[in-house]
Amino acid sequence: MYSFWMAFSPYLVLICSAGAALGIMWGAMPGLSTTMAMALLVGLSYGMATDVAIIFMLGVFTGSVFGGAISATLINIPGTPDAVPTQLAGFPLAKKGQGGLVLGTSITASMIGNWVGILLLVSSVPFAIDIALKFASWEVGLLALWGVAISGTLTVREAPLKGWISGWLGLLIALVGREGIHGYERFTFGNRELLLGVPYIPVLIGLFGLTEIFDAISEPSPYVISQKVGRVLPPFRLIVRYWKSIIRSSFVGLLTGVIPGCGANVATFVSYGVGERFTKKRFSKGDLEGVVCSEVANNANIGGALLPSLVLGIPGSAPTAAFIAALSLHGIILGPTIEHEQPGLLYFVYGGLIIANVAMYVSAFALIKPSVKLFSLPRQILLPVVALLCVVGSFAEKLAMFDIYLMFGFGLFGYIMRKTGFPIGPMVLGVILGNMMDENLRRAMLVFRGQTIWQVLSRPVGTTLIIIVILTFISGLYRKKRKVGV
Amino acid sequence: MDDHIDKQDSKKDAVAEIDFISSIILIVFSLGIILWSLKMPRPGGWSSAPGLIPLFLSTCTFFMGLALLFSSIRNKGFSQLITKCRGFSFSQSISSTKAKRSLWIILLTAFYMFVLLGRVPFELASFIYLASTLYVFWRKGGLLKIILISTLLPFITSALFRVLFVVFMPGESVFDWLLSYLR
Repeated sequence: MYSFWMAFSPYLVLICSAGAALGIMWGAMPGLSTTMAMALLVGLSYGMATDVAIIFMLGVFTGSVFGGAISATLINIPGTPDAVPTQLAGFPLAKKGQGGLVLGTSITASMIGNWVGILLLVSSVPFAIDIALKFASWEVGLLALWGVAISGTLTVREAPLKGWISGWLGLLIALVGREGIHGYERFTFGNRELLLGVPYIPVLIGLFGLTEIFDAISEPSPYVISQKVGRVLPPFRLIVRYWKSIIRSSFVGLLTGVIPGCGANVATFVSYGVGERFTKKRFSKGDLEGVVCSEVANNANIGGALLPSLVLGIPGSAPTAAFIAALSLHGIILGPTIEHEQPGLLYFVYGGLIIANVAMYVSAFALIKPSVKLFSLPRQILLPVVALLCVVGSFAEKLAMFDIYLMFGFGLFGYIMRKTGFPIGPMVLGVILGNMMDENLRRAMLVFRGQTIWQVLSRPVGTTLIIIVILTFISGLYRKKRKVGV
Repeated sequence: MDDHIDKQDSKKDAVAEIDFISSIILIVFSLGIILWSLKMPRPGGWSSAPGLIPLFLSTCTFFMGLALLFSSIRNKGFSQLITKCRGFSFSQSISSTKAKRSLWIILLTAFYMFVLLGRVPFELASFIYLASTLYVFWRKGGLLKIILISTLLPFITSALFRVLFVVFMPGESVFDWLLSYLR
């Protein structure tokens, strides 16, 4: 327990707060993802003492996961890919002048998600890992497929076909490049820049950022976000009213975090989708419960993703992979023997997560008013400036001009999609999950070689997922038919 | 009430026309991918073939395209499109304020990203982009404000990313020179 309290020393609290504030600002910038922040910190943390490096990284991790919600809510451009559902549910409310309340609810939901993530991390180590280990290639591939199918149904409820087409095109785009099993080049047209695939950060920035810039500026009188911040702290009874969504989203976030390879993107989309089904509401018209579903899952995912990272040495998500790398630079190898080789480290991380959560909460509330004021500037001034950030965000990951050109191409494509009624969200998710789905499903096919269909269907998790995917399609078609009938 | 119904009908017609064109593009595109996937090598048989998932996805896309096509034909998308094509005038279609504004912002952004960035320092390229965009879309701000914003913001962005976040800018940056000088 001494290690646990060590994290609460004033110096480390200060470091953690600085990390959280920096993370929030980073996450709020379009395209600057949590993964990128953590990856950049791997090198920077080498010069720090081990405890400082861990605390600082946890602060940045927690802060940047929330930060994406700021720009998603106020300028309709998600700072990070996992903030897309928050954008869908929060931006319509911000347009009605409730930006402050949406952000306040996001922060509170994030904090609750973090707490649940921490508590479940501490209490459910053996149980959660047992479930996660049931997810082999087949199940992970199906989970990715479900993520895209559900996002397609959710974003255009009365025309799910367009949502699915968008998601499927995203999956196809993700298949560009050298594939991971045989090393064969697919759809690269001889372009060397495409060998490593289509990077999802420029795609995300193009589809959301540039599309929004083109669309909003082309309006003779663009929409305005009210400067009035209004009530920021959500009423206590509002949070109490959403207790079911909070519990459900926490489990979704934790479980998707525990499954290796499924990051916060899957968590937020699945939680948002499941939330809509349970509440029978349409969050995309603007709904605080949608924001709660997305943000709780997003943040509970942190604890979930840290679980396999700390106990098995297998990263639950890309940012935790960077966390593992940073720790290995300090000579700490995570894995099943962590309690023996690094006694007290787990408790120190628990303490660090608590500090990071509180620091995120305080810093985020302090940043609401300036954020609303900044993002309520006339769109004609704000959006060209955002274009600069889009450029930097696209360029930062690989330092390649090609990524900027790609971002422009996808911006134009997104603009056409928006004008033709195709939703953008499913395409982004498709691009993010495409490779994961491709490699896992093909790997599963190799494993299943020689097995009968009944042997494949005897896997309970996989079969449950197949049924869920089929039900998602059927319910989408049924809803469309009912709408047409009406 | 009638006016509202007319508006809804015309919107539905416009969507059906667009859906008709989109579905044709989708069908052709997915057929292309199906053929391409079938031509891909299968070193370990179909189960791990690089073309397996593209084939599955493009076949699904093909059927989704067909469904979209039938739905648009059912909503008179094809006949509406033919009627519209007969009375189509390019000059008229780009004469609306919205179309002009769209064209301006797309062209200015393309010029910034394809011509300026990487060829001139980031701050100068961004100054030109911001000044021209603000001049076109925010003329009421006045020339002085436009120049002030366009000069300051690229430097602030550059300083924030290059110095604080240690992220490089596309093309050279004033801060690259400054940092190398300080070292």
